[in-house]
Amino acid sequence: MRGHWTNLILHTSASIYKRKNNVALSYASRSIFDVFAVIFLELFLAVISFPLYLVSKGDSAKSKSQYKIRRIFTLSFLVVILIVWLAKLILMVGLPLYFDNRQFTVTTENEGAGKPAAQSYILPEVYNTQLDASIFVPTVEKISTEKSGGLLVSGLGSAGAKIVVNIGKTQSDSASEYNNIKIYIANADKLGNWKLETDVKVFNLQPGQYWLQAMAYDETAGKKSDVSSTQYFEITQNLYDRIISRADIYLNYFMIAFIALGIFSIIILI
Amino acid sequence: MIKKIMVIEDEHILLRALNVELLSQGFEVLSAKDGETGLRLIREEGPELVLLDLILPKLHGFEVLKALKSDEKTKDIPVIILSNLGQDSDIKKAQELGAAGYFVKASTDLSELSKIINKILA
Repeated sequence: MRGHWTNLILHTSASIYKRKNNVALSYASRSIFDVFAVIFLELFLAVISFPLYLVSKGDSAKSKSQYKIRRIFTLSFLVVILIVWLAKLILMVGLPLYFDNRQFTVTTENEGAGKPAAQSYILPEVYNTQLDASIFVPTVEKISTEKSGGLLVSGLGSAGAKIVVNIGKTQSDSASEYNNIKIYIANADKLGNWKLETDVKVFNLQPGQYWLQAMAYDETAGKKSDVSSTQYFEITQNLYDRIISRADIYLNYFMIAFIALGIFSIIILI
Repeated sequence: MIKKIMVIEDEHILLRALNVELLSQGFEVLSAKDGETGLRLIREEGPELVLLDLILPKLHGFEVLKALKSDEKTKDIPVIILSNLGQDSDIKKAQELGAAGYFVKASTDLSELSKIINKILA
């Protein structure tokens, strides 16, 4: 067993020498494979030779320090890779669990490109009711995002009216548009003020441009008003959310930069 | 009596591996990482055999071999070359300079090397 092990060390060392020669003698593009092979073999040699430093003694201080440098370099390389991938794993697995109920969005009112077909996507029971022009058409006064991430919409309507609010994405294709419509119902108070506060757990609009319409619905009389003028707003990710969502990409870039630095260092040291 | 072998090898890990292998076979091992130190230690310690790499810092292996064979005190010490260089010209040169054996690292089985060492020292 020990004989096979020492033979493996001998042959690995010989392979490293051969690959280093190839790197020195070949053109840059052709030497890439050998550079990667040298890195891999050096790491492999560092691992398989580790027991040697537990069983033998008596080397000079110089050779010990050379080994230490090599070992520190190799282990640092491995440790950094490990840390980066662990960080990546934590960000990818842990953060969605922790921030599951948070919506990192900012709402801005904005003129969108697409316009909804009026009354097309409202609740069926509302859609099928008769349009009554005498019913006061509610207005939308404010669209904003709460700190918790929920959407806050408020406006004016007739006192005690039921306000149906439709929200849709302006850039949805026709096939999926219906499914993307969100319908909320608010109740106007005695003064006609209505306010819609969406639950962050239910409200989960992705970043993008949206339209919003409101109409009054008289359940008892089975009548509805015309729809309000269409309001547009945009939900954008804030900086923190952008960083979190792109963490995987940033870490990959970091890994590429780190490996490139390692290759460069090894080429210099050959 | 324990026989002394001098190993001259600049690759630190390989030097240790050879040390472990030779120590396990009951030899006393001296080691050096460059030709100059190796030559000095051979003259000082007078080992029974030298295991010599060729590509060495300070003094090339062939220079070490030449110096050993030209010195009355060390000319009879058998020298085995263990090198990455495997061209016929290198092997021929080693033989001409008086090497007792030549092993190319990439194709060497250390058990074979051990047999040769034991045979020479028998």
